[in-house]
Amino acid sequence: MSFVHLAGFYDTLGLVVIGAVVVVGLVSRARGVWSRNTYLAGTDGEPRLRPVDEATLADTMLGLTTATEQGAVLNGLARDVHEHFGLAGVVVRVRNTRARIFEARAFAGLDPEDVARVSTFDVPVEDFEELTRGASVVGRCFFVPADDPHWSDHVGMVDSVAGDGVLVVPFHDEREETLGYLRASTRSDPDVRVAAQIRMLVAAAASGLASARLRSMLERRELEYAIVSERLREAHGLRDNFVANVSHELRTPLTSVKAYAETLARGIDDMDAATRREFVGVIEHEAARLDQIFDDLLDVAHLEGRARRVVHDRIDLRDLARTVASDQHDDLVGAGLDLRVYGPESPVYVQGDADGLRQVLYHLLDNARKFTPEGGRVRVELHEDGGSAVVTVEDTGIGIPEPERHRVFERFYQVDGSATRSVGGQGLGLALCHDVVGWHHGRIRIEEGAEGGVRIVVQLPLRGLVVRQVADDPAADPAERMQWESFLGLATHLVSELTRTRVASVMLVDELYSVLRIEAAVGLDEDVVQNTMVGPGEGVAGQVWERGESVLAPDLDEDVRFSGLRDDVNYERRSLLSVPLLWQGRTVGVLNVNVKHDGSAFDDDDRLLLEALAERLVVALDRFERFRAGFQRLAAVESGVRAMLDVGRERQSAIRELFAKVGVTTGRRLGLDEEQLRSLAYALRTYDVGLNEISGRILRKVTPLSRDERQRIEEHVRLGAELVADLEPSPQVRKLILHHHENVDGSGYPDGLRGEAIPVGARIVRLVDVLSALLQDRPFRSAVPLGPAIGLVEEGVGQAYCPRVTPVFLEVVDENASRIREVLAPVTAESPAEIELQLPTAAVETGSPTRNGGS
Amino acid sequence: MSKSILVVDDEMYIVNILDFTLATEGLRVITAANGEEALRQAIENPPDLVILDVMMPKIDGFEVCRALKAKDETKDVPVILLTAKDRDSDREKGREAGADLYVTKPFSPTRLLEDVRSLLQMPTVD
Repeated sequence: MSFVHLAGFYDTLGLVVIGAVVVVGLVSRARGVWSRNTYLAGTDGEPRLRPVDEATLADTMLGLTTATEQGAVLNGLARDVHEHFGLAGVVVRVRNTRARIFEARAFAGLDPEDVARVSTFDVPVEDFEELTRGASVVGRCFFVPADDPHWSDHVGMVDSVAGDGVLVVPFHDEREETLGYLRASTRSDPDVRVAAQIRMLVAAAASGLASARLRSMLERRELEYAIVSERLREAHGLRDNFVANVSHELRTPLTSVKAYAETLARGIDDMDAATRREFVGVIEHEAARLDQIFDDLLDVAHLEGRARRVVHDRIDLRDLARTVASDQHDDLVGAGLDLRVYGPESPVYVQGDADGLRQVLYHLLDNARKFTPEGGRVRVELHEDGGSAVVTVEDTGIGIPEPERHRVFERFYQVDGSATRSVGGQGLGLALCHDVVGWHHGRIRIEEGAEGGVRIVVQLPLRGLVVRQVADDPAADPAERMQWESFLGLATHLVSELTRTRVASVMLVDELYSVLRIEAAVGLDEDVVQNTMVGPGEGVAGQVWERGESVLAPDLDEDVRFSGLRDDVNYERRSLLSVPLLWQGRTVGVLNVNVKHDGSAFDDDDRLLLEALAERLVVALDRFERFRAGFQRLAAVESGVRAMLDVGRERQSAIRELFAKVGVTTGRRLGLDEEQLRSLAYALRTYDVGLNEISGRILRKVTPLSRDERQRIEEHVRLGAELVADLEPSPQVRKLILHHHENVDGSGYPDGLRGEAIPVGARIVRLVDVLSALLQDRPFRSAVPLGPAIGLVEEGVGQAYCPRVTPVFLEVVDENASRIREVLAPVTAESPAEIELQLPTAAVETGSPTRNGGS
Repeated sequence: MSKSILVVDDEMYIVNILDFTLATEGLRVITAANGEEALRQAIENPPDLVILDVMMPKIDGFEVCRALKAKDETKDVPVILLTAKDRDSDREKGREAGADLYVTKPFSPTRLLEDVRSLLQMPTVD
């Protein structure tokens, strides 16, 4: 807006100068200039606003100056002005220097519709400056009567609320730059003392803002120092270790080569031919081992070098598995092993780095070869599971004792003992697999094989996970960025897996620009992730951000709230769900899901679950932010998220999902409140996470369990409670998991609680667990049909199951009976034995391409 | 009766080459693949000398050495630590554990044999 244009406005409006002191320039024309020197009495005869007493004023000012955080200062200012002076329509706007606008940041005395309207309107700094230019020399407050057409035309400028005049009080930093302003609606112009008091509050807020800024800067610095020093210590320690390990690993074969070569050289004439051959054999073997170590080191160096490369190749895993198996076929068969590869009939595409994934498969097979004695079997299996491609390599080898198992992914870790040493593993291969899978936002885990060897399971996201890339920042630590991306990837997958949706995104608020950005997503195009910026109140996510409340839209087309979004290409299916990530009352981000696997619309149960996830993710996010550099602590956070994800991937099934709904409905009918329902919704998906920690052999056991084995199984409730505890914001979920095997007669475990002492939610989980288990095959018995299963549950009422909860639960089960039967049917009909063993159903090849031996 | 040497290493090739080298001098070689086994053997049937790897599962070479030097039956048996650990701090640990000689890998079998002879106070061949 030009000066001329502005001036024109004033000239044509038949000005009434409220200020008694006329100052040069614009001010003389800007009516309503109002300062400590230029105060005029009200004109409409309404009661004046009253000043507050000095003690209250001092208290209020103190509160504003000492608030520790920007949001608290701004909200406090709006609230105080509203409450103490009875002013309505209080809005505090803060300057966004980059965007050259004033953004609405705090509100008081406005109804939600006005908040929504006002907060989406940004006031350009130029407009504000034009209007106030020159005015600051006489004062810093303006009063604009309701009948001033110019100001009310500038809706955004004054955030006009119909019918009222507007009081505008700017605030400044120490260099007299306008940081923002407060506006309030008032019918009459305020009393001079009220005006002065408001100005004092605003000044106190300005100083509070300055100190909050300083404080956060100091905290950040302090944190940076802590991070840097910790990182240095760790880097030093790691490098020391690495060098020591490499040197040891190289030295061992080198020692043999030198010793045998020397002995051979000195005594070659005295040796018999067999000894000479033996010595040369050892030298060759150990030289090859050296070679392998160098190769591994080069691989590590090479792949580390490209770790940050964005990996986008479309790879057919099935093809890759065949190629790698074919390449290694001779080695395996030469070692007396039977190699078989299984997979689906059609290609399995993932996005990633072909070289890296080839290395992973190579090392998994190589590992199986090394640790499986002659006559053993190695089985590669590939299938799709929900949103993941799953590659399993299982051998019948020597296995790895349980306590050591998780360490095999550490660099240079090797299970101790001459038996493993002699086969020549270097402890690099699996570490490399772990890293590569990590870059692909996948997961790798090791478990006991069905026949005593090991089974290594690699899960890679099928649909491209896209993580927003930030422009190269030389100061940024690539390792840290990788950790962050891997964390985001996990979080996004967690959301998508648990909610069973094809599209999921994690958005975070960018405080600097005051926008929401997609940090990571599955099922969205890369440029959408890269370029989406959502202002407060914009679209669904923007509304969730602004209000801090979830939006559940079962059908977008029918929903009047989102009429403007109907044509938005981002909303593939017409049902969507968005929940805020709330941290200490502030919205720090938004989780969005869209397109359920089964095509159904989102319902309130989905909302409860996503909110429960949001609560946990925000704890993880907070820890991540705080512990960015502490790799070990970070690993703990990550393992917490992974534990959550394991639940999502391993045990999620249609039957489980259905029973989770039955459980939540039961809870709702029993009158649990929102918070309890959220915990229940989450617990119903996590309660047996502890089972992952228990040997598969025991779980699959057909014969009766020994007392010791029994105890180990009972232990899973504690393990489960501990696993989730790391990210639990409230103790409730932990309790539900811990007590889901208590019996009402006190005969359950772990604590032998009785009756009402067992949390209601835990009693519900107990019922869900037992009934859904009865309906499915187990290694030691086959599935029980629904009718008899319900009968078994009824028999246990009063002993195991609660007399109050069970009837309600069974009522809900009854209502869902046909759906339950429908969901159960294919599972029990298809392949009962294979489900337990996670065996494949179709062979990719048994012929020449993979040259499978022994078939 | 020929002198006996207890060779303790979890690398089969190392044990074999030591066996070969020592046997050419008429020394009798007993082998052990880990620290526990080594201690048991040494105490049941004290050898004339011990060649001991350091990095072994369960009980490491330093500990084995310390235990041998603490027992009456074995305190006078010379111990050679044969190890890939070549840092000064490791040598210091070996000395503290009471080892008579600290040899780093890779090693020369010929030179090791000379060291064995001198520790056993056998006449040199050359």
